[in-house]
Amino acid sequence: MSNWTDQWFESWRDLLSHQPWQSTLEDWWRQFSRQGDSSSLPVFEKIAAQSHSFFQLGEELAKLDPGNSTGKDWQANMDRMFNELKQALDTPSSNQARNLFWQMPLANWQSMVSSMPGFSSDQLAAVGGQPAFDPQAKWEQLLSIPGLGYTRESQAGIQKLNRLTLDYLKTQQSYNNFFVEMSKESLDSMRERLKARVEDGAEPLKTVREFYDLWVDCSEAVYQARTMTDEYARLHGDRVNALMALKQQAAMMMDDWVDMMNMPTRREMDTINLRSQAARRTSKELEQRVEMLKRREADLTRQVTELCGRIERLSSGRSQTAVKKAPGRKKTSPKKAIRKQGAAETGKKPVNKIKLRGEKR
Amino acid sequence: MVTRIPFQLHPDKVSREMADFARKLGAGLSRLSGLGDLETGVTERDAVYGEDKLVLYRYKAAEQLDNLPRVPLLIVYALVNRPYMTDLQENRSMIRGLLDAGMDVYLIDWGYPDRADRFLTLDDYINGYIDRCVDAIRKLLGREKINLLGICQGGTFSLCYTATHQEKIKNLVTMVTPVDFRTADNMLTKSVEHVDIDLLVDTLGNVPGELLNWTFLNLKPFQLMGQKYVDMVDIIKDEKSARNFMQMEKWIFDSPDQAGEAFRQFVREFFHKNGLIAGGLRIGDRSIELGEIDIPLLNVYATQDHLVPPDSSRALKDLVGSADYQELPFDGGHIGIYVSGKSQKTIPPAIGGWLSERD
Repeated sequence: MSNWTDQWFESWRDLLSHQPWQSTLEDWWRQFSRQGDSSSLPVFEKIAAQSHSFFQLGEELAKLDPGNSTGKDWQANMDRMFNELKQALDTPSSNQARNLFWQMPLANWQSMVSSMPGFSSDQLAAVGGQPAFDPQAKWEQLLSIPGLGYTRESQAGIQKLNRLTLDYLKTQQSYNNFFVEMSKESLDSMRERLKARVEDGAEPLKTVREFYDLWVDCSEAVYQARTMTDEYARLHGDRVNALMALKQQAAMMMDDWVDMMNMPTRREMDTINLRSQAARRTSKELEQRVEMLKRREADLTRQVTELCGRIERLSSGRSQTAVKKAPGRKKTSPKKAIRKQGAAETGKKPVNKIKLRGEKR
Repeated sequence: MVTRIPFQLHPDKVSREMADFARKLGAGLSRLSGLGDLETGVTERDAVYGEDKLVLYRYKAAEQLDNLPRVPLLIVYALVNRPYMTDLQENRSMIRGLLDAGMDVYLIDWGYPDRADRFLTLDDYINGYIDRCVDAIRKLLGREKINLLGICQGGTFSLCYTATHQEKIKNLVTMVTPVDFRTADNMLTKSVEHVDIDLLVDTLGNVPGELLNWTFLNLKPFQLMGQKYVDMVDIIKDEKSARNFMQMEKWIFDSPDQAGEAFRQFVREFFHKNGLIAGGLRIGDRSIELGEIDIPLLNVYATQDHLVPPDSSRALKDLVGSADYQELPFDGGHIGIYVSGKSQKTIPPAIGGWLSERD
């Protein structure tokens, strides 16, 4: 990366006199993308995208500033400005208002969808990016996909894929419509907030940044309220479910193609992973049981060692005593001796079993 | 009479503002591009146990404050995002704060699950991984019981674990932990209300981290995906602030995929069925009854948390059987509770103090 910051300032100096700022940013961004450190590009792209919105807002405001109006004209000017933006939202071909702000959550959805497995993201972006829904056109587009294989099942699979694609596009369209309405509501909220500022005697907003921050506040407030509704929850759920159904069908077809090429399929891998996880669970359980048995064995060994020691001590003590005892007396076995001694120590009746530490009876 | 107007934007001033913004943006991007590698996790640590992709770390204190043996503290972080959030930078490290408070700190790093981990269940995570980590620490130190600190989803796991393995836990701390998943202000729950979780997991296998990121960022899309980057031009004034910004950015987007089966169970049992409140929750072959928990419990929550609403965490109070239950509210958000300057001064010392009184 050589002198890209210099190029940045230079391009600004050249273009500040005649605007627009956003195209300056785009020019610079193209230049930077070729020279910059590729690992930093994602975050730079985000910054550039938002700066783009910010610059565009500045341009729009510079054109529509009511500050030079007299009397009550500002209100008419402002109403006109907001009405123009709302009308633009209703015009699918117009990106003016959409790109200002509200496109962002939708674009991020598209980007996120691209990262998922199961279907070519480019294909989805191509069909999903159309502003209006046209079933006939979509059918033609989808039917132009070349057929694979010649069995009835595979043809049925393609038909199902087409049907699911249409389902997804419908949900996406409903979602977009909801967003357009939400965007209009944000504009209304913005207009009301501006009017309220005047009524409250607040200082006029004097920078694009102040305007931008107010815009963010209004949009966020409307978004928070609308996304907590049942309507939104249903739209969002329908869209996700439709996308998953589509991806599932695509993944199944992909698996069939992979199988035809005699390669391992996702279904097979899942089966292996499922069995592997079950085996691993069993293995861990067995490991724990072995550990427990080892502890028991160690306990047992220790107890046996202790017992042997005591037997030895008793035996040696007894042999010394036997010398002193009268002949003919019945000999006591070492085990009985231990039990008797234990009973004498504890005052309890001797038991025949050794109870292991931690063992349940 | 002077007529008031809502905004007054003169073209020349707008031009100057835009030029100024562009100048700062260029300088800021220049700083960002020269940062090089971003290190994550600053406190020295040793791996003391591991299995599969999981690693259990023990953190080293900068200096031994005293020779008193402490009850070890195990941190259980969420499966979403990475646990280095608790040890982000020298001056933004909850772990460093806990060490300074005299704690013997351990943390489970779950790693990055891949397709081979798809069939890991909540039972595997809670009664398997967490239990074996607890046992590893108990064995290492020859202790019967340890302290547990669960963060966010890790807090929910810790509650389930403690309810069924209480004989191994001395004190429990939960941080920004969802308990009641169906409070009126829970946007996450609303967003998955009509999502067919079986279809989603059956289709995707593991759930991509990208999908979770998108979900979290969409709770406040205009602030988190827009305004933040416009604000950035004023924030990154020098290399240090640029590094701070990028480290946070790295953490936000460093989102591991989620093991499919565990994700399915979590959404179904907690988001859809609200199992801790409604009852009937089972993890593996164990029934979870929070009323069984009667050990001391400290519940830390953030009053401005947009991910885990305070009411969701506070619901714990009426569910557990602990006579020694305390709450610690933090005046901030879900992320600020780990990294803000205010939290560094208050949260770790408070947790340390609370635990020390009960060790």
